[in-house]
Amino acid sequence: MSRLLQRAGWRYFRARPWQLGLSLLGVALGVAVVVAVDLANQSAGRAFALSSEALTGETTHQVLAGPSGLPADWYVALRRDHGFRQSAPVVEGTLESTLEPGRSLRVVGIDPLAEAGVRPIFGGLATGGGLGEFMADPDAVWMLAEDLARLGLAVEDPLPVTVQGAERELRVAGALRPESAMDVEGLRDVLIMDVAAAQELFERGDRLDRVDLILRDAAERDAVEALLPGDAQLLPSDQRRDTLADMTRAFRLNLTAFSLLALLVGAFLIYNTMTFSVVQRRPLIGQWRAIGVGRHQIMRLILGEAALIGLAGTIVGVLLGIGLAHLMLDLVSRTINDLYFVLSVRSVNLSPVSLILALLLGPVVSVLAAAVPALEATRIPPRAVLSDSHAEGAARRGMPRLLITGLVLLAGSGGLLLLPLGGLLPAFAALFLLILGAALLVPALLSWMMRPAGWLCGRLFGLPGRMAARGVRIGLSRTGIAAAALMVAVSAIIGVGSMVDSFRVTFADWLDVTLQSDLYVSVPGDSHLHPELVRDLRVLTGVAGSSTAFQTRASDGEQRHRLRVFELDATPDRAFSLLQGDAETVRTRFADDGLLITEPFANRQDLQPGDSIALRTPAGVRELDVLGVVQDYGSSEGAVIMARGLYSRYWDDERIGSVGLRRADGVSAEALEQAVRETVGDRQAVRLQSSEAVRELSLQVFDRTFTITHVLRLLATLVAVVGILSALTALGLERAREHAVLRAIGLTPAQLWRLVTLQNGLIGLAAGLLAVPLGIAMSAILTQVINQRSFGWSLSLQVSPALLLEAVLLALLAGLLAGLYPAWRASRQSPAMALREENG
Amino acid sequence: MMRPYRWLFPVWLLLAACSDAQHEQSQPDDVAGSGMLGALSGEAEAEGYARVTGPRDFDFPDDHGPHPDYRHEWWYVTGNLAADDGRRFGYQITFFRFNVSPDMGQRASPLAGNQVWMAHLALTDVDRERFLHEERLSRGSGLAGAAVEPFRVWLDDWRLSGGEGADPFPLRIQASADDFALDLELEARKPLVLQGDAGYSRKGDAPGNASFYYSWTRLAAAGELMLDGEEIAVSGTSWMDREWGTSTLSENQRGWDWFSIQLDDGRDIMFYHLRLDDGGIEPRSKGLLVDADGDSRLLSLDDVELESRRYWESPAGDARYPVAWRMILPGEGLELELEAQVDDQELRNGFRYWEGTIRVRGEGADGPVRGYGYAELTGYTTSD
Amino acid sequence: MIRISGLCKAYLEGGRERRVLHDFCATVAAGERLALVGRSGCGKSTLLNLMSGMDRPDAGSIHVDGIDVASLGEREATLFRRRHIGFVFQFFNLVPTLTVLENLLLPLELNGFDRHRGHQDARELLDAVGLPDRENSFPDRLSGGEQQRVAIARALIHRPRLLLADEPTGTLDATTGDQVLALLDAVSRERQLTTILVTHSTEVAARMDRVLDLSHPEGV
Repeated sequence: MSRLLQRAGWRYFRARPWQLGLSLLGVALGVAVVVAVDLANQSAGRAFALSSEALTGETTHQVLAGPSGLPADWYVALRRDHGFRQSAPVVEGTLESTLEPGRSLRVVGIDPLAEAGVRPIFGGLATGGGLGEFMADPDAVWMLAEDLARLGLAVEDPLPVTVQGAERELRVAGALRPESAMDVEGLRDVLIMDVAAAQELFERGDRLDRVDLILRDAAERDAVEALLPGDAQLLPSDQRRDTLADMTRAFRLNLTAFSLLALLVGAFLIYNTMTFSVVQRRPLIGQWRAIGVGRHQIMRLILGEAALIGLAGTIVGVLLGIGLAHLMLDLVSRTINDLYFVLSVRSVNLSPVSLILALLLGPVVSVLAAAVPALEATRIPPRAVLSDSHAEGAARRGMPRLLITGLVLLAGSGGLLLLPLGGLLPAFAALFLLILGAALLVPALLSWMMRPAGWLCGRLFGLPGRMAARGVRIGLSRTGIAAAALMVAVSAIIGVGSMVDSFRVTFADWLDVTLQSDLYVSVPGDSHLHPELVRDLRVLTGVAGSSTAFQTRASDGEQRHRLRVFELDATPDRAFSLLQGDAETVRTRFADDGLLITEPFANRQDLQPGDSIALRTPAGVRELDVLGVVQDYGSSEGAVIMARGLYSRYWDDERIGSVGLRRADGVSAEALEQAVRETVGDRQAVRLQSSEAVRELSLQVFDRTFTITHVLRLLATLVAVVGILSALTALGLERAREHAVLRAIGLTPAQLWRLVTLQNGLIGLAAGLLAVPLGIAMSAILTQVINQRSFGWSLSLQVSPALLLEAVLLALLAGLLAGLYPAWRASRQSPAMALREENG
Repeated sequence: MMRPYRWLFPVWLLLAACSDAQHEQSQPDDVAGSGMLGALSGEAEAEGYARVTGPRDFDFPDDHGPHPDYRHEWWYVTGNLAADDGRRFGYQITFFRFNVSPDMGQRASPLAGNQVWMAHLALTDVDRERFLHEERLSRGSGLAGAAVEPFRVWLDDWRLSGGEGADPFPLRIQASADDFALDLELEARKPLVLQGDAGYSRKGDAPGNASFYYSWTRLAAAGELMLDGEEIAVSGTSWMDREWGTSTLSENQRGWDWFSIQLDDGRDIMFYHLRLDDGGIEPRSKGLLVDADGDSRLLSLDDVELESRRYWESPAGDARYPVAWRMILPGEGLELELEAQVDDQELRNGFRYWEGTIRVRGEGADGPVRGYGYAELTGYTTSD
Repeated sequence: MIRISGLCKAYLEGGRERRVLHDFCATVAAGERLALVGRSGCGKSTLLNLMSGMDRPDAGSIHVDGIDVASLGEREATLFRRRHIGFVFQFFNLVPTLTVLENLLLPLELNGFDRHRGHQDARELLDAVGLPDRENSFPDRLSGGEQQRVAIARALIHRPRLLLADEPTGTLDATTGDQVLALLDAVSRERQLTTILVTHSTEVAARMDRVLDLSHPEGV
């Protein structure tokens, strides 16, 4: 019996290949996006872990330099005088090869002879035949054989690079061929060179970035702790790795949430298809019930069909997702590189767990989506010869229930946001409740909207116009779902678009406040300006005022904070946008008696003006007052801001990263630049940038960072278009008889086409209009809650009318485009055939 | 020309370590290490280094310090010790210096350098038949190095440190490995002897194929060992070699058997056989005998009969070392039986060799003689 | 009024050709009311479709008032249908998205007739079919018989020359069917409308002027 039922079900779908195909495509796309994002996330995470592992090796602890750095002498003494032999010095930096512009390579400077016990993968490399070369040739680098092959390089070839803004030619001295595939992954895009060569390459003088150690017990740990320079820090290796991994967690969670949005739209499709199949098979199901098929069997049949469609779509989706993952991976790693740290992810890691989860996800979501129609199917009485209007009547009677459920979900969403719950999960839950709630309101709202629309269309197009609007209302159980799916997708466009807009506008405003000088002189990369050069530049004639900036890291004993050191041109309350704190206090105390912190820092560390921060300085731990919280979008990690004067009191460190010069009246930008160039001469390779150029560049990086958001948005839209196409095709199929009657009584194909298209346009337009409030609500949650909680910075909400208009037009267009085929089909269908089918 | 080819031995050690590492790291066809070894035995590779071309006027204490322009150099100490309760020990501590790139230009980084240091520390616990050893490598740049006034040689926290004067004594050895440690003080019982032609030790016919070489053949040692968590007071005799040079080795040599012997009648003997690939003994193999009063004379190959009496198989396989010998010096009226105090004194690092303490018994012209010494056996592994 | 000659029509069914009409000839006089009978699948509905231009013959011609329907293009056929033909089907007659009145107005609007007059005509017709008070109801609020009566009204409103009815009582109970049939009978007589009615019922067929059994076309 149930075998036959299944066969009947199968034949039903086989007779509607379009409907089936589109549902499959919808699920496939939804799953593909989830899989792609998940794989990309996983791969990025794995690449990070492998690279940490490969480069951490057996290390248990790391001594991390404070602002004054770790002098090589300290390391020498650690080994020679204190016997800590399992210790390896590291100097790190990044550069770009001109062979592969835009892609950072990570330079790891090591002492090969110190590596043996510390990092097994370099132990052998170090004593290799090229030891003399390694140590004595400052240009010699080693890299993965795979990377060499990719760059088309062979051993002994020159490797042109840009480092600190200057062109340099390094030399490939050897290929690394680690035996373990994991180490191969871990060493991707890494250049290994001698620690001394790296110091020279990055102009670090005698400084090390860190010393990696294997410490066997607490006694050894305490002994090293006691030897630390005042501002350095000893950390367990895994703690540092965890800190880095934590930084990207919010970002990756955001991606996952966005990908789930695509799946949600895909679920609408399944719901759509299954609802149709139930509605269309009402008489059939009624007959089955009449001949004794039980409710459970009907339920199982519908859910089974949904699960099968879900599974088939998922399989396609997983394959598609694997392909898509490569694109995603590129975008994900690019964003991580821009926002957090240099990470090379070149290959997609097909984690079996991810794939299995994805394979389960599709069918489970499908079955859930089909639950409502399946339930509906079981309620069909035996031998039901129900007209559509009865079915629609049922749908309409169910509307208040939907409406109430929708309102409850919306209230739940609001409640989640209002409750004093921190964290991202409640925020995302609120977002999803908002979307689901809004989707449930769509049928009712659509029905209401069609009244005035019918009147208006009647005025414009006569009876066909009224028919179109009424058609939407009458087929509410189908048009409602199509409109809801489209609305969700379009609202995502508005929501995410507004978020990016808000972010960009806020960021640009902040840049304007921050970039107060006319010309910035800096050294690219992580190096520093020569102090004499800085002195000369600041007293140039034509310079009315100047500021300096320098970034380093300082430890509070537990964590290492980004520390920005400024010598300001303006008063601190003008140079920064103060969000919290008293301007007068900041003005009087910042120069030598307190700190400013950035907003993300304040959020992450839960600090406010009046609190204090303990910083390790060479002279010991110093408690410094937080004077204010300032707006900042430079780093999601956050930073501590200190005046140069205060910094100099604790640190004997003259390093300066960049100098900003303000023109005197009557001095042209060209003249100032010329004067600066002459002063710099060939003393140092520096970069000169006007404030406009810096602004431009920052915004470019910003846009690049958000590419992935755009791609995800596009994919969600694609799923929605497939959804509405599927819904409208099915709707068209269902209306075939009606259309045939119309043709019989004299509607030309063109008139019929217009009628159907008008109806589809109405659905699209309605979905677009409904998407506006939802989109704005979404962007409010995204900017005011999710961004705040993910990255710690607040954004002012910007909703551009152009974006709204664009979104509504897009919805309209999607409706029209998706309706093209159904309309064409309806108008082409031979009325005789349609009528015959029904008679047969 | 004492210990003639031994000067290259550390290079072999280093290169063997390399080629081993290469095997782990890379495809079999990419054996850079053996390529280097081949290249090093060519004369061209000596280019850029200072060469030993004739006798020099030694300038002490400066010459106790490093000569970085030459390719190789070492400070080599071996000795036999006894505890108060009669337990016997042998020890070795050696610091090797290499210049790995003579042409390196001026460098800004204080860590930059072309000097690589290697040290071997070994202890033989005769009564318990144990042999412990450890190898260390480091760049120079303060991590390892040598200096005079006061005299010191170090690699990490292993060090020899001596006095301010023209000779390095009293010389203190401080070194601790994972499972043992040495803290000894050495005093010279005989003056320094210049090897070969006043310290100019020729080893081949080509000009520059030579080294500067001098030794202290009898040093009194006293101090502590740290073993099994126990501090053991010890005393005994030691031997120290200093040698540096640049030149290379001919290719037909298989390895060598080298002996240093300190007899209880006050005589010290150094003698070696250089074994050729064809099974013969290199005619230039020779030795040196130092009388109790410090006078010394050369021993040529023909002056000494040396015969292996017993062999020992390495547990690591692929190697069978002689561990007992008969040595007859007819001209000195000496007939000696030499035997390893512990059979397994093989250093199993990247490059395997046997360096260990030996006990000497025999008959001299004036009756029985006894003593202790050290033997060094290389080229016995069949897989290398 | 209608002259059909040499009409052939075949359908492909499961890869096999099924001949429905073969060299079929017939004439129907103006005002004549013809019943088409015959067993299922003998081509009754096909003939209606061909006459209304909704389907094309494989060969032969159909002249309606001198217009060769078979030679009309898609658009002309539609216009022909719109202007000259009234249709009543077995079911799904009415447009569910339009009210009763609007369903009636649709053919008028399609033909571009005066809106005001159309309203009058429609109301009159609704009176005539006995549904004067249902003009603003949607079809799904009407019973089957009522729907069919509206359908008849709609088929007549644009004053067609030819009324085609395809088993208009097929889904109705006997009493309702009779009422609908009586109505159809009455209006076609009253308007002297050429009528072709497909039916299975010999009783129904007997009410018409002439009966054509498509199972035995040669018997005409």
